[in-house]
Amino acid sequence: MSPPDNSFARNIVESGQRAAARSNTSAGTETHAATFRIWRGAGPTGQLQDYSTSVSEGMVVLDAMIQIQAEGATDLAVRWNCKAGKCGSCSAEINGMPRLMCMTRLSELDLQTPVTVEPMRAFPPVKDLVTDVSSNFRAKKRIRKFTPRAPDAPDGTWRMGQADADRVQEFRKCIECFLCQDVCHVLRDHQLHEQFVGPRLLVHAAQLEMHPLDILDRTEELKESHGIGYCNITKCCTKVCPEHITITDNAIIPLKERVVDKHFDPLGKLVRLVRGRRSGGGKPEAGGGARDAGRGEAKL
Amino acid sequence: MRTALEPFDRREGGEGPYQVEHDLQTMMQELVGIVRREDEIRRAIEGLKALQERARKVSVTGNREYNPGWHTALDLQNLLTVSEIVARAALERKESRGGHFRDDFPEKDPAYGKFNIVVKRGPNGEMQVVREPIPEMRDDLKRIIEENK
Repeated sequence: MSPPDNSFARNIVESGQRAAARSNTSAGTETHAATFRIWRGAGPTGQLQDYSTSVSEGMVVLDAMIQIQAEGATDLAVRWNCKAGKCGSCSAEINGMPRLMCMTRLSELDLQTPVTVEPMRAFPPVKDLVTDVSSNFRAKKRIRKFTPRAPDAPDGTWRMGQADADRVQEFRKCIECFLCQDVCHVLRDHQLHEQFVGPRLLVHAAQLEMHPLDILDRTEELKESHGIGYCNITKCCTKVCPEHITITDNAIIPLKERVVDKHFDPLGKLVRLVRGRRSGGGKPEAGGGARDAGRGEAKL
Repeated sequence: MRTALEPFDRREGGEGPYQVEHDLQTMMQELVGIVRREDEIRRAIEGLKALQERARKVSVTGNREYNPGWHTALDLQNLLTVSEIVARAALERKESRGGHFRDDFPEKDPAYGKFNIVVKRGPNGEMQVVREPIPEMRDDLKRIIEENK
């Protein structure tokens, strides 16, 4: 069909005809090309494939992925959404390092050699850069949810101290990007996805355990089914967290200390036995967790 | 289902869907954007026809599992429909109101406040732009608005 007389419309048709040869560069700035070595595959099989594209100032790895997708690899599977480091969708391993693709500027990479972009290797691969992260959602369901005490005021509201509220704010910054889960050797190398909830979920547990209003005590399940003992505090999780949550020091280690106090401290057991009730600190138990007092069992 | 799978049949040599999407976005931003004018909106409606032709011919590669190119090709028709509706309604409303700013009609016209612009599908599938009157406001609500002016 011949393009309509309207010259603007004709431009649209002609630009369509030039589309295959057009390269996507941002106007006005200096551009050069870079090579990206991207994992292409379906399920467990696949290989790294090289793609060259023009790059310019201010670009991040995600921009390059989208550009490569538009320029020919139209079936490149890549998860992304906000492009602002807040949604946690675009997690990947860039030059071997777990990063968010939208937060990795090309200016911080050496573009003289190909940039390797791989999916998160700790999780089952679905296609190209997309992985199956559902084990994390299953693990979250296993952690008992927030259970507040009865309201402090007649209108159904609570009162809490500022310092107590501040303590848990850090944990609430989590964007569930699962980069910490990806890098943890227990999940990544030993694949203990159903036995160990992982650093992200331990942060979630810490947020609940340290919440001033929550009355549950989750130390029993942290020890028995969430697998907190598997963590040997190598702190790889803290290193990759894009929100800079001090996972190991502020969430995991305090939870480990609570488990140890309750289940492995012989002096604590003795004190509890003598007093006939729980010793100082800790929360009143709402039906969950084992009560050692009065039973005289030595659990070691 | 067959229409949805069509872009795979044109595997070789066709245009990719992202380019059409990008050109549509650029055109709408330029011509039916924040500041609108009659001649620009008319040019956009013409441009949409050409984009419609291009959209019919896009091709995609790969298979059906997690194929963002294919999803974009499927979205294109909806994007074009919505863009045409936006342009036609913007053309019809010859005043400025809220987010809709017409450079050629920069003031709010109270006569336009009495109806909504509705775009319907006509008997032959064409777009019909219709003015549907808004029911008269209740007296007590009118009074509240007057009092707060």
